[in-house]
Amino acid sequence: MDWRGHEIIVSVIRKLREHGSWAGKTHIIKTLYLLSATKRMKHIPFDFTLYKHGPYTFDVEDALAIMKSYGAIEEDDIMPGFYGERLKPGVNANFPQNFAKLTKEEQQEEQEAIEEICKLTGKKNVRELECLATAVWIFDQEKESNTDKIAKRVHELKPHISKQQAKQAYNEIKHFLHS
Amino acid sequence: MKKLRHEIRDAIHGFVEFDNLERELIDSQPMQRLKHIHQLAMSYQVYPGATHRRFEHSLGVMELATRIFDSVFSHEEKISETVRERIGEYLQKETITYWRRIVRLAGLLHDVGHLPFSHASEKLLPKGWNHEKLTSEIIKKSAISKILKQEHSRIDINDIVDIATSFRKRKVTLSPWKTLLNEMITGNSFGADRMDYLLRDSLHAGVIYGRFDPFKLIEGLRIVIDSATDEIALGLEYNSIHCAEALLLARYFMYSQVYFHDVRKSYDMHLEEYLKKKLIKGHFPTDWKEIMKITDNEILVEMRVAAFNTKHKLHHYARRLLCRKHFKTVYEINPIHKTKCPTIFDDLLNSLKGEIQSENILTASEGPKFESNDFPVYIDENTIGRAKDLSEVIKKVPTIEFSLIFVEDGVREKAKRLIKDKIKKLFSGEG
Repeated sequence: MDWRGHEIIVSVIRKLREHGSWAGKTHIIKTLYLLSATKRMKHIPFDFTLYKHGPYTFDVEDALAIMKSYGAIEEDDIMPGFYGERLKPGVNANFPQNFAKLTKEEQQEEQEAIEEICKLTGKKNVRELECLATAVWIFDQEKESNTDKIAKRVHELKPHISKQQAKQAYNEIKHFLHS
Repeated sequence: MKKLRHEIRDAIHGFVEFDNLERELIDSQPMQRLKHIHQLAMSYQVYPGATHRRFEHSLGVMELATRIFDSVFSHEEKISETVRERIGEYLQKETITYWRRIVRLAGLLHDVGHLPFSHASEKLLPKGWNHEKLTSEIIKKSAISKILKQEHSRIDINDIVDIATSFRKRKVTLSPWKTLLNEMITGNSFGADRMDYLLRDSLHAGVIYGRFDPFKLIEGLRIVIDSATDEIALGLEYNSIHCAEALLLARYFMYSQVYFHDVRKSYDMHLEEYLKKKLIKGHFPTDWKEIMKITDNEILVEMRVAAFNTKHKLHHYARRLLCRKHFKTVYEINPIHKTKCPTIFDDLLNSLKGEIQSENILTASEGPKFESNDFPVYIDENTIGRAKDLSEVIKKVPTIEFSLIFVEDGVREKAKRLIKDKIKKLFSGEG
């Protein structure tokens, strides 16, 4: 069992909700990706690939199903008109921490990193998250750091995202990538 | 005069019709091989009627995929203006005829890469391989490809592969059009593969859990613009949503009562053990030509020899399978235990391993896996909802999972006692 992955996911869900997020699967996956790509956290135990709606990991889908099964997370009430499930910590949300191997300082750093990224992603809609994460993917995987070129490439990959939108998204997160 | 249409009577769908090209493919060696691959491995040791093969399932998938395709595209009034704007180029007569052909062939060929005993032996492929990948190889390289190329050069074989095998499992991205057609075969909610195996497996196993109304369900399908993704998708008319509820519940019951039946899983584990010992390096080859040579038949013949020859190196393993000497279930995880103690399965297993020799213990686990049962629902031209918003049943269909511990019959009572004591300790906080 990947308790470490579960521990991170619970923390992300908690922070996303604190920032008024829907805390659905897309928010969780894109937040995890940004935490990983911005190197804000040492090791995110999920493999990402560029998929239909930007960086994606199939590992998290399965992890969420496992976590639900032992009560680490639960489905929250959904609101008609919003899409997909909304998640909240469950009765066993703290269980993965029993296997934590981080020092207190490392835990503190991790919480700060999650706070920073969730603040950015929490209230974004699915389309905005796709744009933001895809721009970071170009930076991280294609080693491109020129804003115009990143925007052009995002538009090439996702024609429904304009270059202007991609540029704005990248500018929002740029300082995380270069700091 | 050469006959242009042919038919086979199928236990589920009645007459399944096909043309000359399809007949040639049905008669090809890769398709005929499926007559010797049990659909449900050795489930016939639990449900004696479950001896059906992948061959008839493949015909069934072709038939259902065609019905889905026709239901969606043959009725002008079902294709809204907004949908037409997105897929208009595919609706020209010649183009839609081509894609109907591709969907039929994809349905027919979608399982040609199955190993002997279907899913039960799939773990014995090297990392990175699965039956979908073998299916793709066989369609592209075997006699199937020759038939398609020689007779009908207009058919792009890659189109068949893209539609026939799960793009999720292959982790590839398809165009919205191909994604739509792929859903018709492999989709979680309305895929022809799922519809056929539920109906067929329940009939042959002799259980009624897998039944639902495929006619009404297929009639209610239509293409919509999915508001969650803003892309074309296979959706269902609101007045057919109860059929989808029935299908999803049927699937849940079939998994919990047939596919994950504890004795069946015990046979799967023994089969895996047997094959691991039998195969060179403990796994199946990935060369499709080698796979083509093996079916359940060759393996069962050798297994029978081993089961009745005490000197055979596989005797011990073969008799478990053929002389009903399978291990017995001593523990099955349940939601209450799991919530009380998420590590209970490993805790119990470790406790048993301390007292019972490990060769007398087997485990089997699967899931829970992510499975979105959500799909778009057509209410009216301006209102596309989501199944989970509109159906309490679909929202609450339980996730499918199991974790089982089996032991050799001789140590069953001891194992049960150990488990009982361990559970008592764990729940009283001493363990």
